[in-house]
Amino acid sequence: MIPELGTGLVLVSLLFATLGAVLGFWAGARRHLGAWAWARRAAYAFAGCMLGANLLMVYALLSHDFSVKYVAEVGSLTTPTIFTIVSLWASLNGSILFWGGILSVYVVAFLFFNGNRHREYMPWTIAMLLSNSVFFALLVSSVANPFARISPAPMDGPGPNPLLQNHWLMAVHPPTLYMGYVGMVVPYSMICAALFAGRLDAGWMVPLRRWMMIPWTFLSVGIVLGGWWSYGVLGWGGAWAWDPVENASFHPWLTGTAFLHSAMLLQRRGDLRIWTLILGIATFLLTLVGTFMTRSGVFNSVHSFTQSSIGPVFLYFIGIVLVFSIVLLAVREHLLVIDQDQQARTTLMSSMFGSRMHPLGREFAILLQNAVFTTFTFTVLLGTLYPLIAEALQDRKVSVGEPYFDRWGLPLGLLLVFLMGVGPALPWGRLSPRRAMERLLPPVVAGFVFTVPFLLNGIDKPYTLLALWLCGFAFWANFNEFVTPVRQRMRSKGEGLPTAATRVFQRTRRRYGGHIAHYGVVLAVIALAISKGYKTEQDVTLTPGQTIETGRFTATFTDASTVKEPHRTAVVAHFAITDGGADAGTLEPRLNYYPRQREPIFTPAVHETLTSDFYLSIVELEPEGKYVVLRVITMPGIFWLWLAPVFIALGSILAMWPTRRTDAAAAPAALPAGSRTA
Amino acid sequence: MRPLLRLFAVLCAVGVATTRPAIGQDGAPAGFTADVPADDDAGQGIPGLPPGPPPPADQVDRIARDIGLGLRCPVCQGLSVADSTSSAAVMMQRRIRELVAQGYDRDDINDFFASKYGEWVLLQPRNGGLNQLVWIGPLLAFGLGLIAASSMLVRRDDDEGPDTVVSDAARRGPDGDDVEDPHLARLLSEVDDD
Repeated sequence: MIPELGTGLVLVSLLFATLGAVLGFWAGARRHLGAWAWARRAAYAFAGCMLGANLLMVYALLSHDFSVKYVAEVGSLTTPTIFTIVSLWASLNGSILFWGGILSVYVVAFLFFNGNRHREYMPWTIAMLLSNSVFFALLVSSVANPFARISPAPMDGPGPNPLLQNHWLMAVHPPTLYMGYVGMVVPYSMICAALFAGRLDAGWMVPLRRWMMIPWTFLSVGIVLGGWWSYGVLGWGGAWAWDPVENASFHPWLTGTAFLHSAMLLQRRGDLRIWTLILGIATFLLTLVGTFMTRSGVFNSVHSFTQSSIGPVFLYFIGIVLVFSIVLLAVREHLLVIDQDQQARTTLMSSMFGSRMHPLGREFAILLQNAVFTTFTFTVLLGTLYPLIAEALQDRKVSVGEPYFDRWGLPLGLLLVFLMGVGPALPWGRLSPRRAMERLLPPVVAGFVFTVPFLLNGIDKPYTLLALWLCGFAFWANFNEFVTPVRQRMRSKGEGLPTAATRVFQRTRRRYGGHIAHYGVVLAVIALAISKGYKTEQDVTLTPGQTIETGRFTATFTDASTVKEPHRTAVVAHFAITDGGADAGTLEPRLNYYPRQREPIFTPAVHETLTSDFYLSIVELEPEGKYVVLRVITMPGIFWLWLAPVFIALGSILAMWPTRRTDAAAAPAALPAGSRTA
Repeated sequence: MRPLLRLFAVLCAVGVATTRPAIGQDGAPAGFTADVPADDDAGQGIPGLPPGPPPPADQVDRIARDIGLGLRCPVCQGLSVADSTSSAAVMMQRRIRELVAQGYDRDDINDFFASKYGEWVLLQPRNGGLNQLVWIGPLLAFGLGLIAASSMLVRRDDDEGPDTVVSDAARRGPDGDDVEDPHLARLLSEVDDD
């Protein structure tokens, strides 16, 4: 019953998506209100059916209906309930269905918040959203159909991929990342809508930037959660290995971040028009490329468990989207803004980037930031794809890995941190060199002050110190933007610190959202700089009773035991831990044996503290516990990396939460393209 | 301003270039022949004598780990020999340590493993041939970005002029109080808008 019902739901959703897309294009081209009303209904119907199919699959998984092909592939009677639900995205066909489900959530949310406004753009946006939905509904109903019936139904299944059952973060990391990936289709559709409509006014830029910020935030959080999972599960004591699929999630993050900043220039003075649109389109394309990398199996990666034959289909889709976007940009871009000084801006460069700007102004800092972000994206993309290029052209197998990406990522990343401080320190417009120095001097000093406590604690490597100096610089440059008006208010109005701070914050909440997101990045860079520079590791062989001491930690091997759990068997090594001489409990790294896989999964154990983590990972364990070969890792400062997304998410929420004023600004008013805002 | 910017660009390029390791030093290192048999087992060493004296004993681990970070663990998914805890990687790392202790340097050891497992084992492609793409490409992209960005700067002849004009409304600060300092006025005016 479930296979037929599920396939039916997917097919009906495909029907509604197609219908809605056609109606949307019709309503956009003919400005037909009736068609628009029906396009909206079709969009809701599509979303309802797709979500229904997702719920049905969860029900099938929970009720262990092994006549459904997907359940037979990833389900198991012994898997704990939480991981049974998680199985929805544990394998390829389910994850494509889940993708469709998230797309539906975005369609509904977007319609709910914008359905009655932006009449000019909305039909086009919905048409584009539903066109993409058609592709995914087609995938789910054909090559990746998870609802196919298996007859006769097996009695039990193998359970989901062991790596996915091994950590609770697997319930959080993939959906968060999916929310980021899938959501990029919304700004893309909005950009296409602007091109179709032939205008891009301030009233559309505000929601466009906001709908980029939503998936961008999910992507940021999802990437860090993935790092956390890698750190807690893979046992090598690191969060980021520049694995092709990790890179795949990094590309759209880079272009998306560039977009969020260049869009400020577009909003403010109409600059970087084509460029911003290209960034938005590239972000969506890179999510598709990323999906292709994950799903096609052309890369050997931790994530290739979901590989299958849908790779070529995705490649076609990427090609179609690319050609469509380029043609749309080429044909419609010149219509976008009614520009008073069009005559003066006939070169490609100027229509791409806009009017001229002063080097000592925030505009130029953003422009440089965009250049660096683009270089970063290009470099990571090139490095990731180069093994394919070399194999295709010269039939050679080469690797591009961590040393290469670190080599480039370090200077580019540090340059970005620097610009993250310079941008906020400079005002929009222009500043004389003397005044610019005055503005930049306090952050420069703050950078030095910030490095002192680290120096006193033995941090002396030049790159780490440079990174820390930049962090202090960027932090103060951002923080100063808050401190100065607060102090001014306290002086001129005699307000106390809490009152003044609250008032300033209330007035400029959205702007400080950006700064708070910057604090998150600063935190991440501090954590990465220290943990990368001062990670220690050693391999030791211990027999029961023996102790290993490293830094302020000690671990004493007590014994090993075998634990039987419903879905796995584990051999657990027990260690008594001390931290700075004080008892710090036990750590239990283990080997988890899953019935589906002969080789065990070596699961590390971590004693986390604010200053340094103590990380034990088993290399080899004698089953009786006679000896253990252990990798002992200390990771200073890594804890702060996990806090970074909290700041980024908080900052984004503050920045995108609507205010009454932005709603008023949503009234259509042509963007003053050439004019400069003082 | 232009000269400053150019200087900045050159500094950046130099910074990137100098952080690159001494790759691409072509030619076989002294005392090493490339035709190591493929079935060379871990017990055998590199033919030929080490190029120099062994490093101090307390440095061996650090150097070995550094070299291990640049070699791919053959049975893992993209992890380096130094990072992976798989038995194959642990064996390889031990081997690297022995070779370092004997006085072989990074190039010898890289060549040794590349001849056993193929160029694929090097996590950082050697410079030369098509591989130059991954080294020149980013520099080119960065250069183009800087050129594009600097082409948007105001021309020198209209470079004169006052700082950003602060409107009277903005000069009065958030609550209409008069602000003397033009910096502060600008900041407050910015803080006030979005």
